[in-house]
Amino acid sequence: MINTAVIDDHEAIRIGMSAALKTQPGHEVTLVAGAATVDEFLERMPEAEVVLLDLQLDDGSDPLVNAERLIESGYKVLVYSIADNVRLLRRALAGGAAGVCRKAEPISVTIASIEAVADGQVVISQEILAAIEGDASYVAANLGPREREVLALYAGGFEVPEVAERLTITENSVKEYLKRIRVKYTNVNRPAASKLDLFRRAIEDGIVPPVEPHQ
Amino acid sequence: MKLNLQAGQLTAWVERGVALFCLGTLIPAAFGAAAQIPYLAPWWTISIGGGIVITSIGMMIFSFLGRRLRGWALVYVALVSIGLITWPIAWQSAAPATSSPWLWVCLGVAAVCLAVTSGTAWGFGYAIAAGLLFAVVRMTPSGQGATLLGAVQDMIVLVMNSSVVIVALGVVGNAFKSLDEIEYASHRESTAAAIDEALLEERHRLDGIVHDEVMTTLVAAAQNANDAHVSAQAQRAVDRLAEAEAPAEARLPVTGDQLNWLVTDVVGALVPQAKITSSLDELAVPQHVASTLGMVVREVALNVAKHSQAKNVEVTLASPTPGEVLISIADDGVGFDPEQVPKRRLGLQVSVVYRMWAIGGHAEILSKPGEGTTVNLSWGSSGEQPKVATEPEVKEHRTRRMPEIPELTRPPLIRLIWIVVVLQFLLGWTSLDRVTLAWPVFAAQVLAIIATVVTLRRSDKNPMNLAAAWTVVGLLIGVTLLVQSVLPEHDWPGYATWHSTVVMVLLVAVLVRGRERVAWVGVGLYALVSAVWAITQGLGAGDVLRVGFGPFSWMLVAQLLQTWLIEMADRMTASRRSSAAANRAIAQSFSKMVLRDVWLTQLRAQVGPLLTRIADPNYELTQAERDACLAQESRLRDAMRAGNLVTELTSDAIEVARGRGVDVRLVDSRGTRLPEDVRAALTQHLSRLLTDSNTKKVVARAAPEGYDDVVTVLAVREDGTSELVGLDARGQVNTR
Repeated sequence: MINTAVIDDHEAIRIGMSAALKTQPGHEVTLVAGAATVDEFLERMPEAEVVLLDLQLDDGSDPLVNAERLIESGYKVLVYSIADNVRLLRRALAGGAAGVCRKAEPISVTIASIEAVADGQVVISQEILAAIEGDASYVAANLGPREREVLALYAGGFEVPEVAERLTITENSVKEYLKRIRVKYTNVNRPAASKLDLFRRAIEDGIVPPVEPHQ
Repeated sequence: MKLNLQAGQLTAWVERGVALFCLGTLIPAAFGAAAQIPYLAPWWTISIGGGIVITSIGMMIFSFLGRRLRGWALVYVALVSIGLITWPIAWQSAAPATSSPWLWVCLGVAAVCLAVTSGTAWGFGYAIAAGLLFAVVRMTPSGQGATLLGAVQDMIVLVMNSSVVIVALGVVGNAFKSLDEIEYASHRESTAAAIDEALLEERHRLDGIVHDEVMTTLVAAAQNANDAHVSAQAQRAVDRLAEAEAPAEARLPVTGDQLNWLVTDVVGALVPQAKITSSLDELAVPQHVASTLGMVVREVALNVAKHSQAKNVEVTLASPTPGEVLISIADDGVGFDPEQVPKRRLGLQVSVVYRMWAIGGHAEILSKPGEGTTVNLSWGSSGEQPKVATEPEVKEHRTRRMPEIPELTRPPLIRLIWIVVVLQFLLGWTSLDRVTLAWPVFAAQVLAIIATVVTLRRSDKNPMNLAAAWTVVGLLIGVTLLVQSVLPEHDWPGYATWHSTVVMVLLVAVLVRGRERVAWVGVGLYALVSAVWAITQGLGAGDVLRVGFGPFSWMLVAQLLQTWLIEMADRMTASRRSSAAANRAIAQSFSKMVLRDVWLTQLRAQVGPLLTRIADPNYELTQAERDACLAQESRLRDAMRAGNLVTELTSDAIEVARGRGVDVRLVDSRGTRLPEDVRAALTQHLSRLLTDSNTKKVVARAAPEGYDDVVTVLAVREDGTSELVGLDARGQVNTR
């Protein structure tokens, strides 16, 4: 049994999740709790292994802080996102979130992600690696040329075997590279207080259609 | 205490400098006065002398308290003038004075005070009047009973010295004043920008919430339709959307630049091939008008993109009469007959003509089958002027010219140097009776003319030629030696030492023209030569200092002034830069706010009907509608996360492809706008790959800046083979 909890400020999502899990046979995931904020959740400290964490909670809390607090309390964190902006996703990853799955995905995909996180795997998905690739200053400062190459191909849509074939390396080394990039990203502590970061944040936040800043 | 807010920080420093100047003058004045006080009436010494001391100290204190000096300075000027007029009466000794009245050192200072507080013209006028009066006093016994020639010489020196200081202060003061103005303006602008930025951030937060609510509703409805919680959620989304659309706080008008930005953005997103020309300059339209114009232009551009099959699209923005906007969108596409508007064009009629009418504008749609379409949108500000209070501010941004700091290269200053040099020649000629031989004086003056020409040659190019600088130093030493060779022995030669001022002025010019070391070496040599001469002539230490030290102290002043001016130029550049940046930031945030209106309208049109149906607890969603929910969610997601990569048209194609089961993913690792050529090429490649029935998966990715491939598109076919298209910055295929 994998005890799971959802932290989301929308009741419709929490209830929808529980209903959806019941319709899907043959899995070990049980939804044991739901909360609207991390504070509310940690007050009750339910017996759960994996926590599905929404990025944009009603209390305006920072995903990085949320992820860190949950991990400190012994939970494994899986980001459960709508189309939150990439900055919030990066914050959660930097806070140590193990993976990400989209609310709009079929429930079977969500279940598979929960199982992988419960198993202690570092989940590498295109969504996560693309978010890392988009953090240009991190990539420039922390990744080697080979890592960048692997990252670009993977973010560009190639699956692991194809990346391996293109670079004539083994699939295992591709996976190793991706894992290393992913772990590095979590480990590099990046305070977001500088002016440049604020500017980048503004640009990221500004990407609502059809708004794009002129450069 | 009322702090002075008008004088800026730097102007205040100039006044402090003047006050310091007054105070400093008390020292030589005291030396002169010490010898003359026994012969002066006590009432005069107490009222005039005491008054001058008190006002000098008072000016110093007040200027450092940050208050204006005008009152004090005028009192100082009055005291000095009255003192000069009453000098002959105050002189109580029967014997003529043995030295020039000590008050003369204060006359120049008074002229400077008047120039700084009341204007340069007053300063010059006073210098001339005081010079004349002083010449008269000089000829009385109380003024040492000087000859007419001697009195005229004193007058020339007095007028000239104060003029030089007044001009120098004028230059510095003007520069300071304009710097103060610029700093004030740029401070105000950056404050405005900061407020705007904060507002914008709040806006983005709200927009994020709107997205969150709307998309959550769509997902929840697709997964768990017909649940009470879902309809409650939908109602919340509808409310949030309405809230966000409520009219915002009083907004500033949108300028011509911003309108250009808006139209470019809206058109560029839909019709990448469009050419946009604009002649909008001085213009301010209310924000709701700008929003509507943006929406209408978007509608027209959408029609061009969908139906026209146009190769060339021209968008023109103009302002035929002040306050009027004319936007014309012309394409060379298939065109249509407006008389027989097909159904699909009804949208154009309603959304373009009606919207323009609602803001008091006019839309004209001209088209013929096969001859393309032209849409003219016009809006005039008849009676609907933007708020007066805000308009001048916007105008000010555009018309204010940043003043330059005058440099020594400017003609007035060059002329001034010539005037000073020629006046010294005049002094030399009037002192010909004091020298032992006349021709070396004329020879020295010829050398001085050459030195002046060399100093001022090619004065537009700094630093001056090194060889030229050394030549000037050599020539000036030559002048000094020539003049000294004919000076009388054991006697102070008076204005026969005219050369010291020439040496000073030209060496200061060399210094200002960027050859500081050469100038200082020149001053050192001059001091050495003069000291040797004074000692061999048996002159006192005071006279040695008088000849050698004069140019030295002026050099010091010039050096400090130069350092000050350079620092000020740097500050001015920095101010200008930050003020330009603030303007840019303001322009962007304005446009973004307007774009947000456009976006909200689009969002409501896209998901409004669906949301209303979900919100109705009695309505049961069909399977098709649940699928539509997911499709709309994906579409919103693409637009949010990869708005850079999709246009309205590709979004349609993606929606259709997804409906067929194709896995379409858009990844934006760039974040900043794609070049138009790339957008156009991407649209073309995407539509080809998406409509291919063999395609199973498409991933389009914008690479971070700095990669060779700006965009990559990967398509995987049913049979497992794949195609990778990489586009370079010109939109050409780079990688396959």
